[in-house]
Amino acid sequence: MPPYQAAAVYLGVVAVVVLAITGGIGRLRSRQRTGAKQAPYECGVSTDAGVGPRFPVRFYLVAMLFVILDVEAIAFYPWGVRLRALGGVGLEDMAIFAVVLAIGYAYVWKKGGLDWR
Amino acid sequence: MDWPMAAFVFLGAMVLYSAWRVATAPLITHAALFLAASFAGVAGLFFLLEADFLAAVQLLLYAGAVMTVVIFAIMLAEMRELEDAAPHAGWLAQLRSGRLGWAPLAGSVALFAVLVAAYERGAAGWPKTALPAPADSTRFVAGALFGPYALPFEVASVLLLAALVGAVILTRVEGKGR
Amino acid sequence: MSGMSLGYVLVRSVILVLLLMGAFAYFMVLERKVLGYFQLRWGPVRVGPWGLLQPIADALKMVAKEDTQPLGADGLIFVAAPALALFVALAAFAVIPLGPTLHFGHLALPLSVANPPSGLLFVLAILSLGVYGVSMGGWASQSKYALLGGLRAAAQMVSYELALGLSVISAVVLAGTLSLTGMVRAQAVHGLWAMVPNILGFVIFVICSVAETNRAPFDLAEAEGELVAGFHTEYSGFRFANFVMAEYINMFTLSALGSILFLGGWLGPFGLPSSAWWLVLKMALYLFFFIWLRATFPRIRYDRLMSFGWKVLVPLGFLNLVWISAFVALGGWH
Repeated sequence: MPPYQAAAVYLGVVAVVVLAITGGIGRLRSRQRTGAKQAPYECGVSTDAGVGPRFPVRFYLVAMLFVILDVEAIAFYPWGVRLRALGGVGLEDMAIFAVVLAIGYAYVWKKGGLDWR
Repeated sequence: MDWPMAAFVFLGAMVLYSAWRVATAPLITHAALFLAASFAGVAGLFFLLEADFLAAVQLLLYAGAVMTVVIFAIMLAEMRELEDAAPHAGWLAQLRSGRLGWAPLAGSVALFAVLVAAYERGAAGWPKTALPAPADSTRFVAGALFGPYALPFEVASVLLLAALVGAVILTRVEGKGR
Repeated sequence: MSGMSLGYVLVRSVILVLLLMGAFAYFMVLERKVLGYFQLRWGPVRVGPWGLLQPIADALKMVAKEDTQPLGADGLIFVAAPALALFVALAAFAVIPLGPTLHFGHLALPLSVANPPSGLLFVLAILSLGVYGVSMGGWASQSKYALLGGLRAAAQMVSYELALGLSVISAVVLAGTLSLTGMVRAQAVHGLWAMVPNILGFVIFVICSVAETNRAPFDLAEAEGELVAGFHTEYSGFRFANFVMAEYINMFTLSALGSILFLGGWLGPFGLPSSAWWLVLKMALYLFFFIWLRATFPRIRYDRLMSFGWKVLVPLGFLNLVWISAFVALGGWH
């Protein structure tokens, strides 16, 4: 059996186990829904406010930077596998690619994109 | 039906159904989850084609990274806004109301015709039977990426640079006051 | 090969799942024991000799607890998040080999369910999905603490995934393969564990594996002083247990990965014959290090955590990659 078919079989087993836990155990007990029990956790004075204020856009910036740099990182895997065969030329190829992105990273750093305030 | 065919039908149905639900789910969070399922299904299709490098990239970039951005966008918005925006924005509701007449159907048929025509032209040079998959697809991709396609690869770095700059500028607008 | 029929794969899959869950149960006891000794206490001693039946009692308790759900919660996602977290954690182990293939006469027993040529990439791809369970669980609860915890956890995992990736790439460059068996083979050929030339990569990997699993001192996602319990504040009973199980199985995955990439996997030290037990021993030491860190360091501040990831680990990982790839391209480790 080719490796990914074997992995698929394993994923199937895992899915069955997880579904059994999620669907099965949940039905074992009676559930009583009362007001206080269903309120989201809060200590001290209870509030009617929803989930609260908006969150800093900084989180979103982190996610975007991650996507961009992850795309860059992906390119390194095939390159790393073949670096021995590519030799010095491979090093140059990647150097150009990486330097452009290093400039971008330096720009983000200088603009304060990496600061967490 | 043999093993790969069954897997293909299963994954194909999963991708199509999830994609359909992305467009029709009443809540944007559910749409996001279906989008993730759709991405994962496409990764499964790549695995089926023995393109394991592409499959891993599909999972890492789309199901992992791009979905993180989507999830963050949802978490940063308020629940109330999402509920307000969701129900009446549905394009299905617009269609059902009949206000748009035959235009959507005609548009869809036209788009489909264009796609079929493009496929007919493009597929002329394609091999009629499946070529054997390379034993190690990552090595194969590396050979292409750092051989004949080295220049597009280098140009891609400029694109990523532009994206980095764009990300900073986009988020600075809101942070101006600080 | 006789080891490849469907039934045989199925049996090995079931054994692996049971093995992971059993390891989780007893690693919990071990952690509580070790933490106890660190703090001059006994740890669990009541249930069974030396507290050895503790996980059974815990499991019974978790199953018997009521399954609560806050009023404003998004039912579908609230239920799906812990299941997804557990699924992803277990799935990552599909392609991790635990040792060289064993032979009993005609029967070959590979110590992995599957061992594809790009196994490493597969593990990383699955690990990158770990962000779902945490962030969706935090969001679906519709509770301040859970939402904040989920956001923090997601941003932290994403940031450290980048540095983790850079250190993994340096290992890939050094070994010239994405196959996990190939990684070990490369280290056997050169008679040297990869951590010797690539010590910086190893250090970065260890730090990132702590941050990826949201463990102390990087457990900002569940900083109880400010966030109650972070993204799983609203979860009770077995759904909560699912999150905990996912966290520990992720620790196993990362310790196996770290041992294979940098510590020679199942190769014995000082030229001793290779065996799966070496890998188990290395993983155990790696996991002990996790507990040791938890017992020693106070939690670090969130802004420090983020700038440490982005301003120290990512540039450092990149510089390490430059040096390793120059070393390889100019003829090192050929």
